[in-house]
Amino acid sequence: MRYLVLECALSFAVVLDEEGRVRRVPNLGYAVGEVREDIYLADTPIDDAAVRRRGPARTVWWLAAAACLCAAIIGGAWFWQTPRGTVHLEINPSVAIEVNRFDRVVGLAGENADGEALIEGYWSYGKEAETVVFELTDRAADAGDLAAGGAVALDVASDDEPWRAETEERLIADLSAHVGEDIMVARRADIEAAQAAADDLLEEVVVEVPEPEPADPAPALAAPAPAPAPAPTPEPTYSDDSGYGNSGYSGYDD
Amino acid sequence: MGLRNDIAARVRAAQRDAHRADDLVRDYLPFIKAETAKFTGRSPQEGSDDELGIAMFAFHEAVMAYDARRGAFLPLAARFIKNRLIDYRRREARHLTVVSLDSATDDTDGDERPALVDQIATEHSDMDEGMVREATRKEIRELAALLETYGVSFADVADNCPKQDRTLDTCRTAIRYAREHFELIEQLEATGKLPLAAIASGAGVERKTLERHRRYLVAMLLIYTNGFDIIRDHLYKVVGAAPEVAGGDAA
Repeated sequence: MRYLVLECALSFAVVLDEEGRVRRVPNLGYAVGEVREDIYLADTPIDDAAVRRRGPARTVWWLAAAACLCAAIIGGAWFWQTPRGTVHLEINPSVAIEVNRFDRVVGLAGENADGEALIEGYWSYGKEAETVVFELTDRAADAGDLAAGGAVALDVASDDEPWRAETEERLIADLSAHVGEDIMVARRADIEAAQAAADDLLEEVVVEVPEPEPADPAPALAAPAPAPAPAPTPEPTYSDDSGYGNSGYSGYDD
Repeated sequence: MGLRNDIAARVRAAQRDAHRADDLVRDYLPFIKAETAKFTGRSPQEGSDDELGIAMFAFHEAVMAYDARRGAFLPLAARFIKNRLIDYRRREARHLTVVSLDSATDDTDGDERPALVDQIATEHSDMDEGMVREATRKEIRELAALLETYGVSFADVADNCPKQDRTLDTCRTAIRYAREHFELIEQLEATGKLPLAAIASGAGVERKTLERHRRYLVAMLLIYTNGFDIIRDHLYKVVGAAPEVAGGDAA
């Protein structure tokens, strides 16, 4: 749009555009009679009335922004707080560690009395699952619940199977490296299978061990056993009465 | 308190006259410069800093918008200046990538070359342009003098100009009708009164709309009388691509 400058004062100029609009604009060094296209029209309302008109819109904007912020905070908190899976750690204090999508611990509970004792006074919230597993295992070891030759069962439960498998494998590998070779770390089923196999092996070994021989192995060489002494026959007693004629003897009744 | 009342009284007086408002701007130029310096971080130079021109205009707007019941004038003026400078800076930021025709360029040797506008070949010579400019100024002076006889200034016309496109279209329809019935413009010249009823009924527009923009219509109709060819040429979009003054030029 081309503007013809009609008047120039100190603080304003009056210009006429090609469509017949006459405007008062800031005088940025214009001269009467010149035709310009680069006129700053200053047509944005900035008076108080305009500010008042913008007031409600601004309030609505702020309310909408606050609502969005609240929704983001609540949604984020829910997203953070929702567990993605649970790590079951059995040392044998047994604990359940709830892990969120960011691999952070959002819940910890003892699954037995020793487990409750193990986690007492321990703050796990927000820590990485791996860190909590390490620290609880160390606490159990310090408390004497885990020694060389012991075993730690670690299982992960989740609806997200790929994540479950990956997390379980990773935690077992990391905890194995952390505790050393003297302690077995595996899934509970694997530990039970290993124990069953060991028990079977032990039974087989017991079967194969020969029966220990008796202390006197050659009874044939022993002196013949004395013949059993006949029962002593009672010496017949004789009396004057022969008994002949007793009713019980002859069978005859009188 | 006395000073505050004095300012308020001067502002009230200036609200009725754009040129008195301009005088007030001149008197408060140090204040305006200080407010501009607060925004730009440097002292503005009169005549070369656009920001100072914007600030003066904002002060002028504050004079026109001031209501004494709503507090002191100078804080309002300071707020107007700041808001207008922010608006100006935002608009300028949008045009940073546009190369100005007035900007000088450097060649590969680092020597400054003439501004782009001077490098563009034009069909018009500077002399022609100067003559046209002078002729335009003369027309504008004559129009201003003519308007003054009707008690109207260019600033009044600007204030009375329709802001809405729909209202502007209504006024254009009325102007077109008056041009086609030149006796209406002659009647205006003869009596000094705008024949609103005849224009409204003839053009089929609301008389109330025309009444609200009476000073604007007076100015526009006077432009279509004798002697304002250059201004009429500039206004070709108002009444069409081939402006003619029915009877006016022939008279």
